[in-house]
Amino acid sequence: MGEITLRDAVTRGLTEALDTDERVFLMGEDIGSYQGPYAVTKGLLEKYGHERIRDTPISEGVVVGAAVGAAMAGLRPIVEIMTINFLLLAMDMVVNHAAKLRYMSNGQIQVPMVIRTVTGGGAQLGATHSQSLEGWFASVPGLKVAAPSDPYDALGLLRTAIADEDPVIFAEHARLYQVLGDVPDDHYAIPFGQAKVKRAGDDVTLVAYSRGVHTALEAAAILEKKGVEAEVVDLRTLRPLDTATVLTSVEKTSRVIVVDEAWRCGGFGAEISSMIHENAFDSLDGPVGRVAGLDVPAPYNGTLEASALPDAARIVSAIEEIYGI
Amino acid sequence: MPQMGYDMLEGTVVRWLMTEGSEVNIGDALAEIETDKAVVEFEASESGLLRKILVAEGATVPVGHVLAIVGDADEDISAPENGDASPAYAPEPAPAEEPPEEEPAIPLPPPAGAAATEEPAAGGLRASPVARRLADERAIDLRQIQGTGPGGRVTKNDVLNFEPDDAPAVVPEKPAEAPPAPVEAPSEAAGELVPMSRVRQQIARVTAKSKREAPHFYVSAEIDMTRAMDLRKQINTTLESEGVRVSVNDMIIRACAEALKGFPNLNSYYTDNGIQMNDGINIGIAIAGEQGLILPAIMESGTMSLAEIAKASKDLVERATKGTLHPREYTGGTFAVSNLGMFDVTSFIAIIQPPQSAVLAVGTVAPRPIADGDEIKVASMMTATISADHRVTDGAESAQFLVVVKKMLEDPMSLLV
Repeated sequence: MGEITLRDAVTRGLTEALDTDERVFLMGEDIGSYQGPYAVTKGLLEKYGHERIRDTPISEGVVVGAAVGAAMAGLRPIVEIMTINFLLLAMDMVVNHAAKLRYMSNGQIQVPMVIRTVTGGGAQLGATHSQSLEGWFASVPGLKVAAPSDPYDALGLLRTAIADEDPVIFAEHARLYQVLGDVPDDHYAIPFGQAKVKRAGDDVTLVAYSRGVHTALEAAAILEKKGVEAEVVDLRTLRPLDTATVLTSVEKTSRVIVVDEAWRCGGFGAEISSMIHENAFDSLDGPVGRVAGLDVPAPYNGTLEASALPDAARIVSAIEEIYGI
Repeated sequence: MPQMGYDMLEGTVVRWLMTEGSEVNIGDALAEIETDKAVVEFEASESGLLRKILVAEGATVPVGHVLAIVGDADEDISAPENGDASPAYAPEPAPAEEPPEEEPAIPLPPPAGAAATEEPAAGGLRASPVARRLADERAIDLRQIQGTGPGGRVTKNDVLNFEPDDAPAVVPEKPAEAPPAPVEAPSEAAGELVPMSRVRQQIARVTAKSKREAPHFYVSAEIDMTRAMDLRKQINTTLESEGVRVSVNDMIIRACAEALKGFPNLNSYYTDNGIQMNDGINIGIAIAGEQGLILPAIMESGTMSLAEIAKASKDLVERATKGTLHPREYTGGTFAVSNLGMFDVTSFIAIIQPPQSAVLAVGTVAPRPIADGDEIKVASMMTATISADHRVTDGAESAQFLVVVKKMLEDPMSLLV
């Protein structure tokens, strides 16, 4: 047991997979010689060589397409797409091929691949590099989407992702790599579709994932001073979605705010909100609140960008406005 | 279910006095209805056949709920009975603050299944889904609860904190810094939890509402009742053969009724739109019944002689005991007198019964030493305290009113004029 960063947790998961399963190999831009744009693959090329740590051209469609083919042929590719924004270039490969092949082949073909990618804004990278698009992929049947918020979950979910027989989008938030957390030495894995109650409370439920969990926890600390006990539910995976944990919490608190860094309009937060209204209407003390990214392309200006993303103050005031507490 | 009293929210059908198919004339008693205060007869407002009884005996339904259908033999009565805009009966108009919404019927034990028509609360009342569910589970009428959520929405906490024995939940307008302390269930060692009678519940609701909304102030006066007591003795001797017996309270009522003519503000009530004057003077008298206090009024006391008041008050007390007061007598009071003189207490202050603006509380009449010029003498003294609603009147006006009452009682021949 020791405290490590989320970055190191992911690296550990990759190393472990490379060590234990010879079918596993990595592909991506700048993951080898450059040691990874976010340094997640640091040292791997030296250790595992060019066969298994493959630097690719800047052509995401080709990279993902090659991985789909490799997975179909029996390998277990782990692709790194530098940011989720670039995954748009591989949309056809992801949505029309990786997600569909098992179904269109009547189960004759499996696509056991992981696409690791970096999501989230708030780092002044401009409108085209600051998006949170994991929710888009979570709406596609045939894909699985994990979005860890801490090192423990990152390693546990990555193990499950690599072992999964279907394509998984593994969204690592750019601003969580330095987050520290205890990770046990003993092997463990976190099954998909199991949310985690990060903080228990009776008064209001904050549903979040990835970096939103930290925003929600900040809000919970503020609320605690006001005498309001928030329960923070970390979804951990968007697809499959653990509706039971969310609904159990909502049935207890009757109040819920969904925190989502993605755009509010059609965002994954809207799906969660709708799911709650459909299943827990008679437990609600008011409409489900959403604190989401503003419906604008991410501003470059740091102050403006920050104001376009959910923060603790917005969560607190949403609770006041919607529930009067 | 007709509205038969201020703040009446629901009523229980005790007994049907007619069966389906009976011929009904206007004014015929159809059923006995138990309200918060008494059992009263429910009279037909239309003639025809009692086509259908919709609420079983023993069932409690909200005001506005259709109890039965009276119509012609061949009339189509398949229209929806409850929730219909034109129900077959004509309830007295409900106060504006209590729109006759349909609420799920609440059967009393033994539950009358026939009455348990489940209807969702109609629009107008804002309550969250969980508040509606909890209120339904606990058989709480949401209209009794003051919502504290955004837009006045009744919230989960409003329902959880609502105690029917504690009047409408009083919750601060602004959320407190700390959440309200959890309502702890009384521990088993605390003793028995006694369910409240309807009358008790009503008293709780009305007095708390009054104290919460009407800023009370109080003015007291000592009244020398020596001459009034003498006059009373004379009158009672004179009228003995007629069976009339005037009480001290009757004299106080007479004095108040006369005095109110000069102080219309004390015979009015506050509304958000203005001060509503009452045309008549109907003085309510506090009667301690077996189950609690009721405050029926002597209608048109302002036009009555002392002897008439004496007869009317005696009749009122008798009918209150039997539970056959007319609903109008419950609701029609415009001023009230509360007298605890029989208990040998000096003075007390009373709570105004909405929608009234004042109540006079009187203690016992007892010999007391008083200063008469430079001399000390013994007189039959009584302390009277008026509680008045500061929204409609001020201390000076109430003091002047009290002085008029005092002068009339101290010069009691004026009571006979």
